[in-house]
Amino acid sequence: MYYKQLLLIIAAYFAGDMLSRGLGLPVPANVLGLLILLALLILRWIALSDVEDTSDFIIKNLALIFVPSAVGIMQYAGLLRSSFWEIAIPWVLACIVGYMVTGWVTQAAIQAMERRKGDNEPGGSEKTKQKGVREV
Amino acid sequence: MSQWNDLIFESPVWGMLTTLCAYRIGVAMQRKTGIAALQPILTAALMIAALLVVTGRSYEEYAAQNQFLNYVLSLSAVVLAVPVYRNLDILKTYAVPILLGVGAGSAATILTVIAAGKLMGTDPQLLLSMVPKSCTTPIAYGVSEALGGIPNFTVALVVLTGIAGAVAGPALLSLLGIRHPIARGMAMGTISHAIGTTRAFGEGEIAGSMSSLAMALAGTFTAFAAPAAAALFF
Repeated sequence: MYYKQLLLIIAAYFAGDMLSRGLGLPVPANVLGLLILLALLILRWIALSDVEDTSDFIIKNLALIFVPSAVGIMQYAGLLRSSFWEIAIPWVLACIVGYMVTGWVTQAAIQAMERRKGDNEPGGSEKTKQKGVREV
Repeated sequence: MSQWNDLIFESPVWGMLTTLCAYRIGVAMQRKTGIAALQPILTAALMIAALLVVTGRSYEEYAAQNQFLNYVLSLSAVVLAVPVYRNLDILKTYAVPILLGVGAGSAATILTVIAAGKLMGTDPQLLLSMVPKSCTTPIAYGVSEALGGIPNFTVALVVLTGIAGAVAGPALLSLLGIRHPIARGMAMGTISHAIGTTRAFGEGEIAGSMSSLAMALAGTFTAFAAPAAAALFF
């Protein structure tokens, strides 16, 4: 039943909100809610099937949920025009650097890991292939 | 004509109906043309913005009718626990690369915004609003608020970052020689959150689930790291 799933999700959010505001933490309520829900799943206090359908429904439709916020960019057209370069240059640089660093660090670490695994046990890289990890 | 106007725009559901129709058209356009740059969120938002300008309706009025979606948006961060839990095995196997990648990438993007913004002389409040630009919206909103930024402007930047990543991210990653699906998914999710994740799923199940994992991890990391960076540099 979806209402039961929604109950658990909103309860996790509520617990996160209580922690965030109660302890005056600078971390948003929903991040704490995420960690709480994850802990409940790992500790098996709740099963994946208890929240799975509703969560998947929300995640699959994330792009739709974002549409009103995307339309909201039009409110800042003036600001974007008046401070264009001051906003655009840090933004573009940060995006490119972010992609570069995340991608390179992750890939280099995976390669280092698989090399070491390959040295220790010849079947190591075969195992990752079976899991479906392929190069694009 | 104005009678029709009143009749239509006094309905409590025109805003939501507009969102759903525009999104449906956006999805159909992308399916028909197969052009990755035509992200439904982008085409839908442009169509709606054009409609609001032409009909003279305010954004506030439209947004008020879409409160329901904003409510779901704030919950959407919580449900990211599900992809993280589902990928716990991959997360355990590749814990070091994944955590290193997300941590380094998030830190790099935050520091680049601050450094470049200071060099450009960007207004401090604007700059603080830009710091969480790679987080998923509900997290970014909260972080921006905590930093003393302009949360709504942050949301606009977050969406732009997502769209830019969905449009140009895969090509940029190929150009940089990043081919491993885990690394590609991590980069898309860490920098371009949910909108990048939608695109990453187009590359395959692994890139997609890695991206949703990365968006949850990067959002959480940034929620803790951004206040620290702001305290250091502002």
